Amino acid sequence: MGLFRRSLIISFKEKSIFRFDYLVGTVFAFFYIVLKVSLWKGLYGAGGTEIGGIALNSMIAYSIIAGFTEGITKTSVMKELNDSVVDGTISGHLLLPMGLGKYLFIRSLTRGIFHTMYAILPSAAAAMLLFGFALSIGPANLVLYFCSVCMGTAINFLYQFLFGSTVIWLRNSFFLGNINSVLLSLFSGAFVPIWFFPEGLKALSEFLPFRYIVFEPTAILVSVKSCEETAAVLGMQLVWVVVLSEAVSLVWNRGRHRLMIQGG
Amino acid sequence: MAAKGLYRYLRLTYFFTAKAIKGMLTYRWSFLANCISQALDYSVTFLLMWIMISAFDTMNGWNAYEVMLLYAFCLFEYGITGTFFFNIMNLVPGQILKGTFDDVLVKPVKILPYLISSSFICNYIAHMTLSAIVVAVCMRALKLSFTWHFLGRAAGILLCGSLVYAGLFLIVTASAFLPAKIDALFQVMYFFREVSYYPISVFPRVIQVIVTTLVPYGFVNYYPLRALLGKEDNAVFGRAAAWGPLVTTLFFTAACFIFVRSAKCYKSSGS
Repeated sequence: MGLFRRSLIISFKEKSIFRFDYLVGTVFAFFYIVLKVSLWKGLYGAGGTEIGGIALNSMIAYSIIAGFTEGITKTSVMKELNDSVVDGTISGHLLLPMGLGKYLFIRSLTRGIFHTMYAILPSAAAAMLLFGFALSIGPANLVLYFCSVCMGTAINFLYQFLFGSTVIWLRNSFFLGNINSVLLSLFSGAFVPIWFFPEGLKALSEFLPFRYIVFEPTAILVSVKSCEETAAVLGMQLVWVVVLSEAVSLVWNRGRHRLMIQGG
Repeated sequence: MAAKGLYRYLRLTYFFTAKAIKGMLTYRWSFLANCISQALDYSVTFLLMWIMISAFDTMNGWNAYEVMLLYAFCLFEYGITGTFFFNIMNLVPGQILKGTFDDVLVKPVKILPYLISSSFICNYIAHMTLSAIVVAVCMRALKLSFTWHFLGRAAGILLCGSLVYAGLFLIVTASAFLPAKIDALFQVMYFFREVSYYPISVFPRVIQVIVTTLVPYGFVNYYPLRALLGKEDNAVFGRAAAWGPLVTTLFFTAACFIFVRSAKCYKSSGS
């Protein structure tokens, strides 16, 4: 816990040096919400009639909360791992008195907390004020959303760590970064909710972990799920956390023996 | 004299292009993998656009194929510009920081033409190939035919759009010469670029004004294609298409001027 607190303090100090960049980041995070909401308003048109059982107000709420959830669950661990393998700086990380996974997780989490407080919360709050929030969110929803977001964060971290570890064999981080972007932008539901997907893609998304990172936590908070459905989502998230943890241990234990560190 | 100068920089471009292609062929599999992954990444954006708009039929009067056409033009222009200008934006700020920009200054060349000549990269072939395919698909779906008239107008749109992108790349790079580098310009450039993927008439008036006057992304695809497709939506500047060539040329000229003036502020930090 002491280590976590120290890491959190260092992360805050590190980021507060670049506070202007964060301020700009906050402003543009808000602009991106405006962009998404404008697009949905353009799609729903002046009438704003329900499409697929989803009304415009729910869609606006979804856009704001999805942006918020995406910000919290975001991690750059794959890029960090890829870069450190390609340029050899991973050797320094391996000398730390803790496992690489644990170190990267603490770093990712502290950065996530900072990012949420400075960039995500203010922009989401401003968007809520500007567009109004037509949803009534109960305390139960909030608790379930929090649990779901925690597991979504873990899923995203583990998946990115797992996928990032393959750089040891493939040695091409640009390719991996793009493939990661393809999978996340298509299946996470951060931009287009999975409700609107054609049946084939919707069915495919059921077998992948990505929808449990942004789409499912957001859907829990906007109250479109029954108790049974929410329990099923949390159960599936737990399953993915266990499966990905095992896969990470397996791949990383094999990969670190093949690690080739450049420089001298 | 001007023709001789132009010939000189065209020859330089030829040599640097040959060098870039040889470099690419040395790592051809890595290059191919990168191209495929980039094309996949952009394909997903097209797919999401199609899913989103198909669920609603139209976006402010534009159907899915028309919006995809907007994005395809945008991507093609970005590809053309990136081929000659991306490395300027990508490498020059680092050279300024390290002081290695001196290498450019001691060469018997003009800074900007030399940078454009030497910055060729092949990486944008994926952008252009994918967008050409999508344009063909959309035109077929919209029952538009490839006439000489259409090809001429499309070439004009691509040229004007590329000038806007090139101008933005130069302005962002120019900020690196100033004592306080303005990183926020990157965010401005990429945010409004995303705005230009869609019919800008769906956005609030203030955004429509910005993308028509300050950051003229509206002329990259929306205004010219609106005129070409004969769309009648509620855009603030509905008749702006006719001003496209003038606005984009002025914008690019101003950007070149800003770049050259900013380069004079360069102070070497190297040894």
